[in-house]
Amino acid sequence: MIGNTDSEDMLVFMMLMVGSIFLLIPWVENYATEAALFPQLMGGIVVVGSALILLGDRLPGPLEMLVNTDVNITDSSGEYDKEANASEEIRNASEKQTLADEFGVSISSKAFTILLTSAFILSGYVVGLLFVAPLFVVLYTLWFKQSLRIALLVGVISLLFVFLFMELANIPFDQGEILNRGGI
Amino acid sequence: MALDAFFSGIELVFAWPTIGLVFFGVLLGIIIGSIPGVGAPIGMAMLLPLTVGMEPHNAIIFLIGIYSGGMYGGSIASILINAPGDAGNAATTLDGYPLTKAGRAKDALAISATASALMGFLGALVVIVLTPVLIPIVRSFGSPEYFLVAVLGIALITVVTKGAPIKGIVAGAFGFMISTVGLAIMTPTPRFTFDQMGLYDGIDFIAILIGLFAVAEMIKLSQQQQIAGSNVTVTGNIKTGVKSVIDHPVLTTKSGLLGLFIGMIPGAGATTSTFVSYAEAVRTYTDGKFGDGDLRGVIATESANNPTVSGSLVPTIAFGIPGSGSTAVLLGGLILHGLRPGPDMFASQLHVTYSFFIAIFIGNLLILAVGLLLITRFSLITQIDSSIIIPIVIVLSVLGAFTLNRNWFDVAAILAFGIMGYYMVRHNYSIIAFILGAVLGPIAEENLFRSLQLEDNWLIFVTRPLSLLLVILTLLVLLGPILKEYLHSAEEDGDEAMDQNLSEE
Repeated sequence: MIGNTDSEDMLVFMMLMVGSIFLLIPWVENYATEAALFPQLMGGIVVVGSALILLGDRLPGPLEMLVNTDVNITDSSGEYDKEANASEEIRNASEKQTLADEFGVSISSKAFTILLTSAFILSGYVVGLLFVAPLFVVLYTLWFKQSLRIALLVGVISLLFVFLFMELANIPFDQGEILNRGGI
Repeated sequence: MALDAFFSGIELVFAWPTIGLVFFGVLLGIIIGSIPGVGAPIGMAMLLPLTVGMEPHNAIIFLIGIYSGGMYGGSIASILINAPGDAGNAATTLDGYPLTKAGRAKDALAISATASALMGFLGALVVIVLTPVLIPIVRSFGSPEYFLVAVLGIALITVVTKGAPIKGIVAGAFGFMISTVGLAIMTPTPRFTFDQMGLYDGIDFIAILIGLFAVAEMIKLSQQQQIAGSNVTVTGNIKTGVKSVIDHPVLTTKSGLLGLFIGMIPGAGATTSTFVSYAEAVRTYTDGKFGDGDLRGVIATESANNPTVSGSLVPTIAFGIPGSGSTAVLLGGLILHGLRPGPDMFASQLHVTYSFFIAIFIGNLLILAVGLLLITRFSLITQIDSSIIIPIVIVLSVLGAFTLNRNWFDVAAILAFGIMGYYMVRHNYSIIAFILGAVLGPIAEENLFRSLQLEDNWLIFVTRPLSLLLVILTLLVLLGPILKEYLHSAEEDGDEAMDQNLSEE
């Protein structure tokens, strides 16, 4: 499990890396000045800003304040905000019941959502979203211990949404990019 | 001219299918807003791709309908199950949910419908009246000013959201940076495309919006315990609720005006306006039982939230600076449909601008009618389980992202930005600043270039009075609170040193 500090460091480090790419590529690939100025300017701000955040407490006085001072001028985070957040904290306190408990698998709901969504997108790319969307929905709802009847019902609803998009936007969701390229 | 545009706006709204879209949007917004964990911005982001074939004004009016309805709908989940549909409805839980527990859910829901609708009317009316005043201000802005306004917008957002200002600046600059992927604006140079044809048109900002709002929120929701209410009993008295709003005209109007004017501050949406109104009510009525089911607590928050819709549209349409997540999506909608925020919206497109506010005005009628007539039915919506909502929202997000350009990079983008958005929110990096950068990036870049072409040096940003004012404002907004904090701590250190010296003596 990634802790709070670590995941923030990773986020900022990712921003720093992407910022560096936007800063350096225009030089490497010789972009025209008109094309290079804005991304380099913004890339520079991202790189400097991310570096300051990563350095954090090690910075001298005013710079350290720039990084660590919360300057919310509309501070509504008084007792009312805390009360409102309390119910959310209670909800966050424990994980949902999933099939993982029965299979003895240790996977968080967040990780499962990200992994299954990635698999859904990837398989949709391969064979077409029409076929995998209901499957994704049924699997997801079953994982969170919904009844088969509800899972199938929601699967049918998702299928209707796909047809709605195919009809309204004329998108061939029945076609894959690698398999089933001709559709049905 | 403004009057002619106003009447043209009325004609636009009452034409078919526009009027139908106002009603459909508001109804859809109420339903989406009342689903726990799903709020107006998510609904708007998911449905934005489906508006592509619509007339621009119809698409925006439809989205505004969802926004307006969602603002009211969010309070239903807040009152009945203590789970706000949107952060803007969080303050309503404070007294709304205790009222439900006390068997007065109908009273609270009736207050919500009446106060939201009445103050929604007032908000739209005030903005319609104020529009002629705004016209000369907006038209005095040129390219340098519009570039600086985008920068000021990000600066303002950083200080009205949680976290250190540097986080907001980085988030905003990251958004600007991402917007530069694809063909350059001023020259046909492909930038950061890595020879992938799918990246030549850049990453669609709608995909970024869907990722940051819908997917990120679903990842967050997946971690939470079941928030739907399985056993909600809707009892109480509708008439008492309506009467309590009418019996508190000062509180209602004051909260409504607070909501309207706070909504006009870039970056400060309904979350801020409702909490400020609530705090003001607590301060004013010392005899209250706020937090334990005081009707005035619900009146204060519900009077503030709907006028915020009208208020937040002002900086969005005039300067392209969104006041909240919903207006950030709306800004995306404006740009998607070729309606560029700025002087045009107050000149050739003034009738369209008026039509938006008139649509809010009409939409509030529906909120009042639906809110009072169908109150007892809404508890059914709040019982939908989040593990059913999440896969449906993800499927709609993926379908919507692919529909934009039939480009799988957009689909991948919603997942990538969804994960990134989840961690940004968790660590107080403003996603509104990020979106503002991503949506306004091309306009800001174009204005930067036009400005530099005018004088060929950066001094243009400080030699024009209005530009100079914007630069000073940006610096004040960003550095003012830090300097204040620094001086305060220096003063404290000085005092401590003096105390130490005195004690040594």
